[in-house]
Amino acid sequence: MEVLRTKGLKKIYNTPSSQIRALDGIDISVEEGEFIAIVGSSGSGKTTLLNMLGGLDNPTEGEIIVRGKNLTDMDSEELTVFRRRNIGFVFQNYNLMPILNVHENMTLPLKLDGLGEDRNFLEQIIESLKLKEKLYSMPNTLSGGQQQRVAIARALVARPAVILADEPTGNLDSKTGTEVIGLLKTSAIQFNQTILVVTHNEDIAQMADRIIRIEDGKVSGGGHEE
Amino acid sequence: MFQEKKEMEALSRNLERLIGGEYLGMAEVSRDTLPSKIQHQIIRLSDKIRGNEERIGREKDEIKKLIAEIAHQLRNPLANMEVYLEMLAEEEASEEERQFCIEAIAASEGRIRFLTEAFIRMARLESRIIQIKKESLYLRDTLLNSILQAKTLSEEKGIQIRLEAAEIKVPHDANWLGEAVYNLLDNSMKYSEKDSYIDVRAVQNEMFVQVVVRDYGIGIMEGEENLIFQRFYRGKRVTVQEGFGLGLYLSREIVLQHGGFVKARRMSPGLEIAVYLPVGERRR
Repeated sequence: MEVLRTKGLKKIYNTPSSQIRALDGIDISVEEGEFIAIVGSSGSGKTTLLNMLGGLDNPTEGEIIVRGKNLTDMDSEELTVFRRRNIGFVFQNYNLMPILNVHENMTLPLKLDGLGEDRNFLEQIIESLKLKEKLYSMPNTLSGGQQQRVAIARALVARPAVILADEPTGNLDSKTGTEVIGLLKTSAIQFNQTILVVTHNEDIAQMADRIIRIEDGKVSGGGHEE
Repeated sequence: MFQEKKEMEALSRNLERLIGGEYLGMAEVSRDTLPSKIQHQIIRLSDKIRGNEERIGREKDEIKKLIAEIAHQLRNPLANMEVYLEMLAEEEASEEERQFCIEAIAASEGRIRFLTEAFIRMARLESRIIQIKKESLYLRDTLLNSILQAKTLSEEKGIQIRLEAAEIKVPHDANWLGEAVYNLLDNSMKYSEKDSYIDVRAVQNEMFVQVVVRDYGIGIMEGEENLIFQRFYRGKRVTVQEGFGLGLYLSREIVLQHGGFVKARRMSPGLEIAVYLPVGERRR
C-alpha cells in the first residue's frame, strides 16, 4: 500500500539577482513498511525534501500526499494535528525535552494527542531499543547513541504512518551509527513501520531496502519501487 | 450539539462502509477534537486491513514465483539425468562410457538433493515452522562448529580460516545461527582463490554482537551490497562458480529471525559480511 507520494514537488527561492531551485520536480512513491535512504551531497536538496514530506516547509509547487491526503491543502491547525498523528521525526541532535526523563519523553506524543499508553506496545519498544535500565534517567545523563534510541522510541510509540529521520547518525561515531540504523531497520520489520532516512553516508545508505538519490534538486535514482 | 451529532453520524457511516468491505480515504479534516481522533483511528484501521490484504496478495504471488523457480531449477539436472540414462540403456556403450554416465547421473542427483534440501529449509524458515530457540550460549563455540563444517572444502582449496573471538555469551539458536555462518563461509570459499584466507571475528558492541566474515575473493560491484541477500540473486562478477543464490538469502533470514540484521561491505580485495545479533532477549 502506498503511504507517501510526491508529485512535481518544487521549492524555488527568489533572490534579487537569481532564482535558486532547491527542489526541481520531485516525484517519489513510498510503500508501507519500506526502509528508504535519501542520499545526496550537501546542498542537493535532500533535507529540504524531508522537511516538506513532514509538513515543516511548504513547496512552491506540487503535491505531497501522505496516506491519501494532500498536505499542501491543509491550514496550519489541521497540519499540526495531522503531523502529530501521522508523522514521526528523528533529528540529528535528538531534540529530547531536557526536563523530562526517558519515559516521559517517549510518551510525550501520546499525551499531546490525549491518548492512553498501550502498555504492551510500549514494553515491546522499550525492550527492542534496550531502554529498560534508562527509563527514569534524564537525557543529559545519556550518551549520544542512547539519546537517539529514546528519540526513535518516541517516534515509534504513536505508530505514525511514516518516520522521517534527518541525518540520525550525524553526531554519532560510525560504530554507534551502524547500530542506530540497525535498530531503525529491525524496528521497521518488527512494527511494520515505514521509515525514510536522509544521510550523506553511503555506508549507512547501503543498509536500506531502497536508495533514493537526489542531485541538484532532482531525483537521479530510486524514486519508485520497480 | 448539532455539530457533534453530525460528526458522530459521519463516524457511523464510515464504520458501516468499513464493515461492508470498503477502504476509507483520508477525506476528512484533522481537528483537535475527539470525533476527529476517532475518525483518524478508523482510517488507520482501514489502512491496516488494506495493508494486510495487500501483503497476503503479495505473498501469494511470491509463492507462485517461487514454485515456478523451483521447477525451473530442477529441470536442468533432471534433463541431464534423462540424457545419461538413455545413453546407459544403449547396448553398445563401452564400460568407460557407462562409468562416465553413472558419474554424471550421480552429479545431477547431488544437485537435486542440494536444491530440495535448500528449498525445505527455506520453506520452514519462511513459514516460521522453525522457531528460533534462543539460548544464552558462547558464540565462539557456534563459530568453531561452522568452521569445522567448512573444513573439508577449505582444506581442499587450501583456504585458511582465521578466528578471532572473545568469550562472549549471546542469546542465539546454535543450530540455525551455525548454518547462517556456514553459508557465509561457503560463499566466501566459493569466490576465493586457492591458498587464501577468510577472517572470522566476533566483537561485542553496546546493542549488538557483531560477527564478521571477511574474504579476499572476487568481491561484489558497487550497489550490490543489498542485492546479494535477495533470493536467487547471483553476483555480477560471478562467472564459472555454480550456485543458486540461496546461501546468503538463508543467512539473512536466520539473522532477521534472531532480531538482528546483516550488512555487506566491499573491501579491496574481497567482501566483508557483518551479522549483528541483539545482545539481550528480543521478541519478534
